[in-house]
Parts: sequence; C-alpha cells; structure tokens
Amino acid sequence: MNSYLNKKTAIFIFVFPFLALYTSIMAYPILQVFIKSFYNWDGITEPIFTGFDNYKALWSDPDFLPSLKNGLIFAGVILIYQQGVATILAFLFTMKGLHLRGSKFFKTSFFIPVVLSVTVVGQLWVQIYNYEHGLLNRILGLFGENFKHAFLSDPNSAIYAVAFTNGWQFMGMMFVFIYTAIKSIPEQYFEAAIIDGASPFTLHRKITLPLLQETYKFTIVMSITGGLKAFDNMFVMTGGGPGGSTMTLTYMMFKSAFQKGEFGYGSASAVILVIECLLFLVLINKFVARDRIIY
Amino acid sequence: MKKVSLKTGVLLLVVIMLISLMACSNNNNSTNSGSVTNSPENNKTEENATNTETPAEEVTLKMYVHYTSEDEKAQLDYAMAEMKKIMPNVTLDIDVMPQDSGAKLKTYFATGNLPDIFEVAPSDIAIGVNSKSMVPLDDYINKFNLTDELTPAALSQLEQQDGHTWAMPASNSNFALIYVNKTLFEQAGAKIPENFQELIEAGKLLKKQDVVPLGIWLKETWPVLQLFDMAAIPGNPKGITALDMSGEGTAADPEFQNAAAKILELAKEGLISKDAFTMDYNSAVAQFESGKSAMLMVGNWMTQPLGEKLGEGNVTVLLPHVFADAEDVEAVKVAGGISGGGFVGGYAVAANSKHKEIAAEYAVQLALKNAEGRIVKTGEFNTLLKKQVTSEKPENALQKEVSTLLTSVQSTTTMGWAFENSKIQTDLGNEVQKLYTGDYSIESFTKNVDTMLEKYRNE
Amino acid sequence: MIESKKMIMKSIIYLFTALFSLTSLYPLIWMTFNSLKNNDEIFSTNVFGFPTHFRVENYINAITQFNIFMFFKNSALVAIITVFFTILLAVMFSYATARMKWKLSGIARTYGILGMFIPVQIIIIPLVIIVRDLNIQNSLLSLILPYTAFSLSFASMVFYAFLRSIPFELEESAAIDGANVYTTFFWIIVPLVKPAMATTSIFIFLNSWNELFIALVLISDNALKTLPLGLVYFQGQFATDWGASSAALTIASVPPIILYLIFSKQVENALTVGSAVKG
Repeated sequence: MNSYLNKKTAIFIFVFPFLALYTSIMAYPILQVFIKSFYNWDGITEPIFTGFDNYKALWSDPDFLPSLKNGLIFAGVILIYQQGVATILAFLFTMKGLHLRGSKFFKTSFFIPVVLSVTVVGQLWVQIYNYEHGLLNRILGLFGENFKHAFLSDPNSAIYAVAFTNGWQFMGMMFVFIYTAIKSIPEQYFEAAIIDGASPFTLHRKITLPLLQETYKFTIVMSITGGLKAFDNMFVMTGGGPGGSTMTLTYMMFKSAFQKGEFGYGSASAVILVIECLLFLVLINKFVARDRIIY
Repeated sequence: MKKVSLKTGVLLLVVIMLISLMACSNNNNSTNSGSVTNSPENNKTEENATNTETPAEEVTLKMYVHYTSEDEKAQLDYAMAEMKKIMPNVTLDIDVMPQDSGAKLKTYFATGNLPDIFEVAPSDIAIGVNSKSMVPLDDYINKFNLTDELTPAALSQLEQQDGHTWAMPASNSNFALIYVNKTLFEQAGAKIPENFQELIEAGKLLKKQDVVPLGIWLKETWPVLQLFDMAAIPGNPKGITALDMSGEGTAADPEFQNAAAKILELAKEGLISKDAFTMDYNSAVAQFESGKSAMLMVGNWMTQPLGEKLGEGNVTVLLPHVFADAEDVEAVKVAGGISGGGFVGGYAVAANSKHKEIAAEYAVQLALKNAEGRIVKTGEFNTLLKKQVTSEKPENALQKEVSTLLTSVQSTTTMGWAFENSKIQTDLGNEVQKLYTGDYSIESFTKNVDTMLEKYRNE
Repeated sequence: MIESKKMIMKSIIYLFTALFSLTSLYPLIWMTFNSLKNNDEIFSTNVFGFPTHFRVENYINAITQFNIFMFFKNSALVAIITVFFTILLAVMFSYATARMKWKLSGIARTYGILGMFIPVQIIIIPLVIIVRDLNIQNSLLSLILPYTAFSLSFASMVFYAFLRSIPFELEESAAIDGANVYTTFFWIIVPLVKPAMATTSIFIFLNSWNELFIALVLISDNALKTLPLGLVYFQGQFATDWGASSAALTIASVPPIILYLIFSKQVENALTVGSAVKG
C-alpha cells in the first residue's frame, strides 16, 4: 500500500535538485574552507601547508575563548528571549475566549523589526544604550546617577546588550511560526478538552505545547544557530570591542581573512564554529522529542 | 487551489523574467565587448607612440575608488575633467568603494579580476605585488616626467616594494590634530593645555560642565592608533611607525610605555566618553559640531569644515606636544613632530586589465590631478605637489592657523590605517583599544604587543 | 466577581501588548524620523525625537541621485526568483525526508540542516571563485544561486516540521484511490503545507531583500546592484550621510511590509480552512 513511498526514482527526483544546488554552493565551499584551515594562505598567493599550526595558534589566541563564550551567551540570550516572549504572545493571541481588539495591528507590529535591516536596528540600540543621552539611561538616571550603566562600553555587559538587541529584533519571526503552528492545530482537540472542563492554561500545557514540539525544534535551532554564528550585530554596534569583549568566531574569521589577509587561520576558526554547531545539532535532536503525537 | 494558480502565474512570470534577464546581460556584454575588441588596435598604436599618443578609439576604464561624499566626488570629478583635456578618449566607469574593511578589494585580488584602476592602502601593495596583480608604474611616471611635479616628501613615497612604484599617490598626506572648541573651554574656566598635566586639569573642569572633554571614536582601528601615536611622539618623533614592519621599536621602549600610561590616565580621569567604544566617525564629528565635546581628534581634512561650522576664532588645534610633561614640552616643540603623514593611498593598475598601457598612463596622471582636486575643492593642505595650488574655498582663520603649523613640521609618522603590515595594524589596534577602558595592565599590553611584533616581523 | 476579574486581567494584558507593540514599531518610526534629519540631529542633538526640519531633500536625493527604482527592480527580481526556487526545491526535499521511506533519509535531513549554521562570511571566497568559473558574474544569477542555496536549509527545516504533522493515512488513502507519488504530492500534500510555504516565503524574501555581504562582493556592475548594495553608496571613506540613506531605507522597507500583510492574511485563511478540514 505504501509501496510507492520507497520508489527509488521518485525519491531521487525529489531529492536531487536540492542536493545538487546545496552541495555545490554550500558544502563544496565548506570543504574547501576545511582544507584551507591546514594551510597558511593569504587568499591570493600559493597556500603553504602547515598542518595543525593554525589550530594551535587559535588555542593561544586571546580572542578565541572569549569568542567561544560569546557565541554561547548570544545563543542563550536570544533563545530565552525569543522563544519565551514569542510563546507568551502567541498563546495570548490564540487563547480561547480572549479576543483582543486590534490583534491584527499588534501582530503586524511584532513583525516590523524583522523587516528592518540589522544595521538600522543595531544603530538604534546603540543610541538607546548610549550612556550620555540614551533612552535607557535617561530612564535609569531618574532613579539616580548610580543606576546608569554604559551597557556597550562595559566589557562585562557588552555581549549581553548586543545579544539582546538581536533577540528583540527577531522575536517577531518566532512569533509568526509559533502562532501559525498553534493555529493549525485542529479545533477538535481543543473542543474536546474544553468539554472535559480544561482551563485555558491546562489547554496550552497539555495540548498545545506537546503538539508544538516539531515547531519548537526548528525555532530553537534558528535561535541557537543565529547566536553561534553571530556577526552582524557586533559588527554594526561595537566593532568587536570594547577590547574584544564582543568577538565571536565568525568575527574572528572575518578579521583574519579580510583585515589581516590570513585566510588559513580564519578558516580554522570557521571550522571550529561548524564543529560547535554540529554538536548542538546532535544535542537538540536528543533532547527534543521526535515522535509524532497521535490523538 | 487559489495558491496553485497563483503559483503557475508566478512560474510563468518567473520564466519570462529569466529570459529577459539573460537577454539583458547579453546586451551588457556586447556593449562592453565593443571597447574590448578595440584594444588590440589600441595597443598597436601605443607601442608606436613615443609621447602621449591619443589613440582614436574610445576606451572605458573601470575604477574602484571612494566616490560617495560631496568632497570625494568633487575631487575626482575635477581630476576627471582635467584628464579629459589630456586624454579625451578615455572615460571612467566608477565602481564605488564601500566601507567594508577592504573585503571587496581582497576578493578582487583573490579572483584575479580587478578593475583596471583601483585605490589601494599601503598594506594592499604587498598583496598586489606578491600575487603579481599590479603593473609597475615607474616607466609611466617617467614618461610624463611626473617626478618633477612632486615635493621631496612625495618623492620618497614613490619607492615602494622591490624598488618599484606600484601605486601613484593620489592625495596629500593627512595629519591628525586635536581640534579645540575654545568657547567651551572658556565656559569651563579651563586653560588651553600646553602639556599633559594641563590637559588632565582641563578635562576635569570640562567634565563638571557635562561636556565630553576629548571626543574620539573607538569603533574603528585608526583613531585608536592615532591618539596613541600622538601620545608617543614626545618620546619618539617616529611614533607608531617604530612599531610597524620596518620599524625597530617594541612596546617595551620608554616612549610606548609612557604613551600607554597616558592613554590609561586619560581614560581613568574620564576625559574619554564612556560611549566612545560604540561611536563611529559620524557620531564623533556630530558630537563635536554640536558642542557636546570640547575637543576632537580627527584628520586635518576637517579643518575647513570645522572652522566654518564653529565659527571664526572659536576653534584652535593641539599638536602632540600636549602629551609631553611640562619639563619636556619645549624640547618636543623644537623637534617638530606631528602625527600622520606618509603614504595614505594611491591608484594602482591591474595586471589583468585589457587596457594596461592606457590605464597606467591615465592612472598616474589622474592621481596627481586628484591630489590637486583635493586642494582646489576642499582646501586640503598641499604636501604632494611642488606647484602652488589655490583653493576655491576661501581660507578661514582655522585653515590659516593649521597651514602655518604644518609648514613648521619637522618629522611625520603615518595615519592609523596606513601601516605597511595590516596584521600588525589590526592586532596593535586591538591591544591599544584595551588601554582606553582605563583598566588594562601595561604588562599585559607590552607582552602581547611584543609577542605579536616578534611573530609578524619574522614571518 | 469573575467578570470584573476578567476585565482587569484583560486590561493588563492589553496594556502589556500595546506597550510591546509600540516598542516594536519604534525602530520604523525612528528610521522615518532620521530620513527627515541630518547627521548632527541623528547622532547628537535630536537622537530620538521628532524631526525639527522636514528635510524632504533626503527623499529627493534618494530617488533622483540614487537610482532607487533600478535597485528595487533588481532586488525584487532576485528575491522573487529565490523564493520560488527555494520553496520548490525544499518542499520536494523535505517531503522525501519526512515521509518517504529510504535508508539515508535521516542523514540527508541532517545534511540539509547544516547550512543553517554557516555564516556567509566563511565561504565567500570559494563562492566568488565558483561564480567566476560558472561565468555568471555579469548577471543576477550570481546572487540567485547563493541566496537560494543559503535559504534551502531553513526552508527544509520548516517544511519537515509541517510535513511530519500530517497524518500518514493520507498517502494510504490516495494510494488506494490509485494515485502515484507525484499526483499525491502535488494535489494533496502541497495544498496542506500552504501556510508553511507562505510563512517561509516571507522570510526567504526578507533574507534576499536585505542581504548585503554577498551582493557587495559579487556584484560590481552598477546596473545589477540590489537595494542594500546601493545604500552603500551613501558611505564615504569616513562619513556617511545617514539622513539620505535612512530615506532610502524607509522606501526599501515598504515592499516587505506589504508582502507580509498580504501573505499573513493568506496564511490566516489557509489555516482556518485547514484546521477545519484536517479533522
């Protein structure tokens, strides 16, 4: 009955175009980057084989461990903010019996930051975080001068401030996905539960959340990958500073390759990033349930 | 169902677009190939020429260069107009250079399809020469006797790598100055500083007025290095050039130890805004122009605009001697060192160009015309050309002051983006930036910088 | 009692969402304000407030000097074609990994997702060489191919999730009715993932519309420039005219917003229909 689901030709036709384009434009360059990480190369002249030298140098590079740490912090911050706020908002707008007027307006407004370029949003937040005249500090200053904080200039808080900007900007994206997913749950499930006397909260806990697992799987991946490969935000807002406290592996790659002409070394940091991401992929797969829920 | 027919509609539209797309790009190619097929004839006529032969064919050269701000456009437009008089058959197609830390230029190098003429920084020359992507310009410079038009300082910039000239200087040397808003100083009751202690004192008074004492932006590498350079000059007129590839200094030398200590002190005493790390060029300039900062470290190209904006008599400038201790100031003044100078950029010609000869002839002359344009259109200080060039813009008081100062300069360093070695430039910038937090040990600084210098100088 | 408690809760929720909404809208408002200011106001004197002078010349500048409609055309062309091909390739691929039976489906799926982890900056040099070797650097194809390739992972992930939530019985009943895999796919499965396709389209469009780095490096012909690339035009060696570029950015934000409005309406419709049908 299901026999046509494993017909070889069909599978090939469905899969080939994707794999062809993907492999030639994504995988092949990654392979090249991987190979070049074992060379000393300025991107232009002949590469010189140096084995693991780049990786050894990476280990003793003062920017390396902070970059690793920052990627994790970034991923963590945006994961919590994006998934958390998006879920709350999505639930709010899909709760049975709660009809908010102007919900279309609200939903669109959440999405607006996503539409804007990272440059614009980054610049805005640089101004908001500004110590002298920024919105945030003006408000905090009302409580007293001591409450003001140079968010982006303090090496300890800079990465959190930058990460939050990204989290804030793309929350709308997660909202759209989670909201859409909730909306596509058949009404019957909810009706059955309401008949059984479930409150709105139990509804969400017992029915919505489990059914959203597949959705969460990819929204979580999006947040985490966005965090690990972060570059644009720090490039626009802090230039990697102050004192390298907002460096990431991607930024290291960019700096090495384009500012210093060290492509081999830059490739090594890129490879570390890819390995880190693979690890996370494995972890995510393990911890988020994979079975389909059948009611 | 609605989506399906929408999809088919889009599909049709897409196919039509694709076809027209392909047709379009073919058209582009054919108009370009028009000039390409002309080149064999061009080369023939050139080889027979002994002076500036103007071949009959129209040639379009592609040039990758800064061409965005009012000034940049005015200068280059002037240069192109001048060149029309000399080589009327050549037209320039400008490929605008963005602010991308040289990423695009590097990819041009990597793929070997550089535009005919392109603007380079000193550290790009090594890349170009090593990859054999650039045409040596010596013969073309001599062909037009351009060396006669250059000042001695400019002539020394012509010897680049392997004893050849690869990039023709196209701008006058830039210098870094600290511009001072005299009105704000008066309001704070602060004295225009003559030495470092006075600078710190003035800073404290200015802070009380809620004014940022020293405006600077630390998001870019060059201002970070430039102020450090100014702080080092009292100890060594060579400044940061001593730490460059062919320099002989190390961070452990007293002048750099002092410079580091002074930067730390500036930060600790609050002369540098807490927001400096996220400020960029625009923010810093806007801050000074709107009277929110009392001093601004920036290049001398801002002399005319700042003089005009803040008004006659309200601005003055400080030289590196302000970083000297009181007892050393006189000696430093006599030594006449200034931050900046050197080779800040030039035009190079691509080896893969289809019109090498013409491009080279055009480029070397265009470069000098551009430098001239900078003086004529923006009142830049002339350091490149021997001849007298008058600016279109009337000289304001600040410009006169700065010109007088610059004529008494005895030694120069370089601008923070013009290091010979870009690796040293980037890593040094990284380390120096940490000093600006006011919380970084000089030992770590010295150790990191010297390890790095050792590594790169011996590569 | 319960009614008034509900009222209070509702008002609190309203307040919260309204506040949130306003802060979300602020960047757009700010950008529009900037487009009517000059650099001094933007960076120093009037950072957050209403413009003091309405510098409409920024807009005039943007439209006349900046050739905005040509950039628009290029961006639109690239974005639409990218969306089309990404969705096409990704839905097919995800269908195969999500619902067809073959040994390597798990590995293929993971392979496909890897692309999400790769930032563009890493592979730019090999990419440039590929483009040169394929000789497409003088056409918009040099952007369409990488943009599509980069969106494939994201799209495949989203479609996989949606496809997994469709009951397998559908294929069984279709097979009983004598349909083959292609017909089932096209006439039954695809309509069911319309919401996912619409949502994903928005994001793929956005990624393409706002993409700067690849365009910067691959495109040098003025006639082929996309909007973000054109905006670079406002960046001088040192200073940048933020008033003018904000004007251009504001104009550039309009199509994605309109697109979102259209598509989200479609998504809502599809969903309400879909959830009734599914049971």
